[in-house]
Amino acid sequence: MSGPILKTEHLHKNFGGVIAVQDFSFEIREGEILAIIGPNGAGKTTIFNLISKIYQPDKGTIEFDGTDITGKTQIETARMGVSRTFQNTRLFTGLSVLDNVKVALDFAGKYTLLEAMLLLPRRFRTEKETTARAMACLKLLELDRYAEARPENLPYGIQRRVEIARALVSDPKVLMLDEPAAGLNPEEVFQLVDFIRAIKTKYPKLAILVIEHRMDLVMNLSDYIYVQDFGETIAKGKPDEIRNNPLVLKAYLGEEE
Amino acid sequence: MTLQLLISGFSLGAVYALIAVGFAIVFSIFKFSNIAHGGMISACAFIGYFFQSSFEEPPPFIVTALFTTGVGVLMALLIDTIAYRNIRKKQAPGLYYFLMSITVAILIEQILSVFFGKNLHTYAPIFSSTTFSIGGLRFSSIDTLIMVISLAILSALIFVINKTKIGLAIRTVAISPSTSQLMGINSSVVIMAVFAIAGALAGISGVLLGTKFSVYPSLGPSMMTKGFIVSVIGGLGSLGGAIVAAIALGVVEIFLTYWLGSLSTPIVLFGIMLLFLTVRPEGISGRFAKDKV
Amino acid sequence: MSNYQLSLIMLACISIITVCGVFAITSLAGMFSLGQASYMAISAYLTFCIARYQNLPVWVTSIIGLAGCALVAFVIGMPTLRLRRDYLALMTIGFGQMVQSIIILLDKYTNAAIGFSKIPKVNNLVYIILAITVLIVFMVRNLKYSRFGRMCIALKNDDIAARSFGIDVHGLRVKIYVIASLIAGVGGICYGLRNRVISPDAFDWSLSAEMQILLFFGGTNSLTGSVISAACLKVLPEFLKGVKLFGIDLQNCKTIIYCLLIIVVINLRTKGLLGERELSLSFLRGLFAGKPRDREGGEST
Repeated sequence: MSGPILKTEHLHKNFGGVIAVQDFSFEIREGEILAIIGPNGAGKTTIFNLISKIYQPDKGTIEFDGTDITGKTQIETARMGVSRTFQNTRLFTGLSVLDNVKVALDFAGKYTLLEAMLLLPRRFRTEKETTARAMACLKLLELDRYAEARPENLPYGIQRRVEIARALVSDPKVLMLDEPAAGLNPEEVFQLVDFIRAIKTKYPKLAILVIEHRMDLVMNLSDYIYVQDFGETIAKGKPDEIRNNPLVLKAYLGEEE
Repeated sequence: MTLQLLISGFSLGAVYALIAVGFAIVFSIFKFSNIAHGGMISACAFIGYFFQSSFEEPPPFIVTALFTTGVGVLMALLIDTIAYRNIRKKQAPGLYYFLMSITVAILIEQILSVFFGKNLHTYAPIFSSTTFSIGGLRFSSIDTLIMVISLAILSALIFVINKTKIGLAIRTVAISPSTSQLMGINSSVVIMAVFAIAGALAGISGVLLGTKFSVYPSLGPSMMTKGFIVSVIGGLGSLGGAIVAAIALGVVEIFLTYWLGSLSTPIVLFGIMLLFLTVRPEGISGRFAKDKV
Repeated sequence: MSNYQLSLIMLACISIITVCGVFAITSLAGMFSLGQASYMAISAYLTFCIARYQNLPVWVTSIIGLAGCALVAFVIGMPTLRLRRDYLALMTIGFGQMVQSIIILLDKYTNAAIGFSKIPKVNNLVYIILAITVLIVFMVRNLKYSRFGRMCIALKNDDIAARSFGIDVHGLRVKIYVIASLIAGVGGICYGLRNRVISPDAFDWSLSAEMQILLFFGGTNSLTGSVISAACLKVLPEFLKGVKLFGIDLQNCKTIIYCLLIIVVINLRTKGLLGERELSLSFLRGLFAGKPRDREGGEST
């Protein structure tokens, strides 16, 4: 088996003296589903923001496919194939669902500004291609009938799926899902698990990184789990190991009661 | 000569500080650049002029200044009511505040130029002699007066912002509007206070500029550029940085005008600003006004 | 058609061209520029002064003028567009003053405040300007519905999310800013050809601000709305020539009236008259069927 596709070593991040992430090391391989769980404020989203370079880490390194990407910008990281969704959906409200998905392909679009303005043939070809790819992705997530709708008019569960489609369409190597089940009803959570399985079948090499605090979802889905609390990793292992880990039960499940 | 230029620059810079602070205080609360501030400055300069010339014998300068300051406060509150209140209620995006402030600025400029012509008006002189001398050095009386008044107002303002209850409320809202709501700060009172302060500053700076130069409709907008340069160099939203930058700008401008003439000065100033934005976009204070993350 | 009517058509066309530039920069990329008039001035002065002093035909020098425009826009845009969006607006007011000062400083060539009037006469100007207008509206429309338009609307809404999809926010802003300046430059050349005289105070910041007002009047994100309002609001006051109310010439008050109107419009109907809708056949059909359809556009945060 090849090396890890994404790997972090000893990541640290402080916000004005508050430790958000402390000494976080992990690795994920192609085709794996890995979950990071932990109560609110455990620094999970910060880890995503560090990997996607919205914040720069104070210490530690991030490696992607064997190369160090710690110093790269948010744009460069995204273009390498690290894609993400946001905890509170951040769909672009001025664009239709289809355009929201297409926009994720647009940075690499194969026509220039002048061709766009003069409506030259290459623009049509590229647009057709982009639309086809976006529609395929929408179909996979059963969103094709919402293609022309405006995301802000859709129910929250659908919006979350549009976010996943938008992150998936550019054929990334790593897909990071930030609390994909937040705000969903139990039935939608079931659906979500199915969709993630479908994504995995369609893209067998894709590495999926999920942040979640719903145990049930994570246990069913992931190959490996990291448990975070107050910025620190308190446990890691296969779902079965995590289920029986007393530390986890205390820190995590204890909070639920 | 150098000392006189320095005094003149200081006095100009002090007025710029008044403008920049009036501009920055609205920015700190609402996070938009209130271009209408420039319009208020020219309107107040005109109102002060007409107030003064409506008397047979010009009233003491202090009366004109106080009257105009009062008018400035009322005008700022009026502008808030007609332009900003409704979009604030609708929680419209920042773009609309900005559009409104542009519209109000043009409205004022156009009203002034259509009804009061494009010709210059000049305030009645305050002093019988334009200069006075201390120990062999001659000083311009008007520059010294402007400098004293501006510095007094700035000190008063710093006191209000740092030491009073309303100042504390303003600072809290500036840092975090949502937290201050939780802490029970009445945001409409803070908003009124901020516009009142900005209006008062526009009023007094209008009168001072009118006395120093002359009164014409595009006086305010051209001063807005100065206020903006100051905010950029000082760092938007930083009071101390703005005052230092304003005085520096005033001095630099007076010296540049003396050496290069008044036409080349805006070119050089613009170059300095562009350079500053390239090299140090966060301003000398190092505080950076950012859009929301 | 009489000369007067032709001149009105050209007036409307020039207004449409300039507002198209503002549409690109404000409605697509979500930035305010109060320096569009300065780009008109730069290209007009470069074009006509070089044509006059080097004895070159206008169409050659207009390329130089536009190139100059693009270069200046790039130099101004690079540092400024990295910052908050209102920096650009304020920066461009200062830029406008600088351009006016330079024109007056170079009075040997530009004839300073009196105005430069050695502009060659072009035959059939109205057709040329009409063609240019159609081309520019067509190009800006295409821009809106291309990948660049989508990326612009994305970055206007949420630039952090836009970056996480690989969109080069700063680069795109600079590109759009340069394009908008070029369009303003075209408008400036047309303006010079129509009026046969250019003077620095014709291009001051209130002209730029007027473009913003025309744009918003038609609808924040509606190209058709802006084009219609640009043409109508610019031409209507011409019919008010000589009409007096309480002894005040109404034509002089047009900007005052527009400002008051826009304050009312934004208070009542925040997004402008047409909002985000585009006037198109399908929209009209939907309207008559009693079901207006939402079209693309953008809503800024």
